[in-house]
Amino acid sequence: MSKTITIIGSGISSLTTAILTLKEGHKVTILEQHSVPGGFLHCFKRFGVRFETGAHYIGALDEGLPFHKLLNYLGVYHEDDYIALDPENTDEYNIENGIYSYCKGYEKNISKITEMFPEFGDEISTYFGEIKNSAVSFPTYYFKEESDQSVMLKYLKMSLHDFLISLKIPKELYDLLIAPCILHGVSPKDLSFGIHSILIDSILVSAHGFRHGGQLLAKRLVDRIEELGGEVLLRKEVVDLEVTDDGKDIKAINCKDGSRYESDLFISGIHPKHVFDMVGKENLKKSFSSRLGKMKESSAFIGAYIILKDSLGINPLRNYYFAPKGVPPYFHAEEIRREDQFFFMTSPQRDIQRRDKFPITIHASCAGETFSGWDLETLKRNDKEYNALKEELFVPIFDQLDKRFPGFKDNIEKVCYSSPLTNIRYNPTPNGSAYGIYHSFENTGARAIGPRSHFHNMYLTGQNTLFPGLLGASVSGLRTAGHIVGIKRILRELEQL
Amino acid sequence: MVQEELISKINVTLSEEFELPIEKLTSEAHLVDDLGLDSLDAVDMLVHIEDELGMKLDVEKVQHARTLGDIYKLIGEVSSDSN
Repeated sequence: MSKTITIIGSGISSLTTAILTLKEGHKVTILEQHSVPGGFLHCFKRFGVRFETGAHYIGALDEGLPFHKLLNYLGVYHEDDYIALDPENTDEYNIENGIYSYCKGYEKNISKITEMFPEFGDEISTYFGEIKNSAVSFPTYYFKEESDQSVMLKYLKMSLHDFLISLKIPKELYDLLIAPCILHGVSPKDLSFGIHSILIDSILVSAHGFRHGGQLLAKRLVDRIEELGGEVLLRKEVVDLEVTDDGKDIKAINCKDGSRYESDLFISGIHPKHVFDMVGKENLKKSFSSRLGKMKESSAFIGAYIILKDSLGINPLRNYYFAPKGVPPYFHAEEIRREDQFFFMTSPQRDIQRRDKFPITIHASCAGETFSGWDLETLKRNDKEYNALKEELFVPIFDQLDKRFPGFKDNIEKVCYSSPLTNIRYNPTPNGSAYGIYHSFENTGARAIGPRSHFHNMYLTGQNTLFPGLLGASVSGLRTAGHIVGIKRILRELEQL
Repeated sequence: MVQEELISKINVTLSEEFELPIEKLTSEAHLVDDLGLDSLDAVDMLVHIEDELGMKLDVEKVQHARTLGDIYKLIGEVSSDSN
């Protein structure tokens, strides 16, 4: 029977869920607070250049691979929208022991790393072999209708750290293998090997960037939703969720502009802490509310959006990561320290390098309390202290980049910054994190919150219910839709693509 | 910690977090029929117990538990393993 569904937020997970439920004949309305759709897919223009707010990486996108299949299934895949990263060097990690690069393909990485650690060839092969075995065991990654859950559970329960320790490898090799943790922001001791394996596999098999920005994917998803009869309403900031008298269901959603939306089902694609704040603590089970309150947040982020006068040899088809003091022991907001700062640099123009413009984007971790002196309500654009702090935080980052790319600082032509408050404003998260809830063991797998909620007609989706990144978020959308329309058939159809 | 102490600690936690009268928290109490807890509550319960006792439990086993006694048993097993 056709149901009406209201979805809060228009990130990739919400848009995925919308298409999959619309395909089954449900009626879908998406409410987005911002003036553009897409969540972290959205871009902004500065200095005549389009910058990404979050999306910088698309894994598993070659033909026949999971993200390629999923985007095709959603009806939004266009080959020209994406560009493959440099197969010889997709990701460069600058960590305390030196520079390590990852490239395309399992075998190539195994032989490259074995050349560096010739005595540990077997261990390196074992590591990558287990990454593959683990990744293919997830039915919602390498889509399979039927699968042996026990294999997946084995990998989900093992930590990356424990696995690497069992290999008895030297610290330098350990550091190289954990370096990609900078990408998802979870420390190896807190991280499930299973989750890590999906991320590593997706990168090794096929790493891409957006040719025309994440906003084009958002547009294609919205167009598809409208084609299927759904609607995406912009500037609809949800401020309140009404609960039925018996406390078991959500009755309606109220927006800041006074509009009210009733429906059979409600899906939240925004941060769970934010949406349940709007439901009201008095309407939540105490046990759930206190659990939610205890969930740690991932690190907050600051950003710099820069135009360089010269390319300085920076490859726009490569991502550069820096953890000068090594991959930090803690990534979550409460414990990350200023001196443990890590950051990454990407190019917002992957292939169209204008002769006179060389744009780059830097996102860096930021200790939780750094911007606690300001709030969105009172912050003014010309606040001198606020702006000075943003600049100050980038001084050591620019020093570091100057070492890697001599002349970096002198070549900065234009720069503007974002703070965690920017993230709070555009993608409401409690502390301005980009990755939401800290995806440790406590908060992933069977311990994750969602897709079901304690309200019978309310579901959750998004990175907070599964894992960060475009793939994690879109698969979370698939899982949420699966709870409503049945996941087996979706997986069967994806498997057959 | 002996089993009785563990049980008493769990009961205090469950009573506070799930707002259940402590006298209802017995080994025989059926999680769904007597305590009104569903499968989502099972995960919330697991997180609170782990937090209180500082131990890790198997999610699937907790989700398959039928009575509070089953939960006590699981905790007893983990506790004796770690001893």
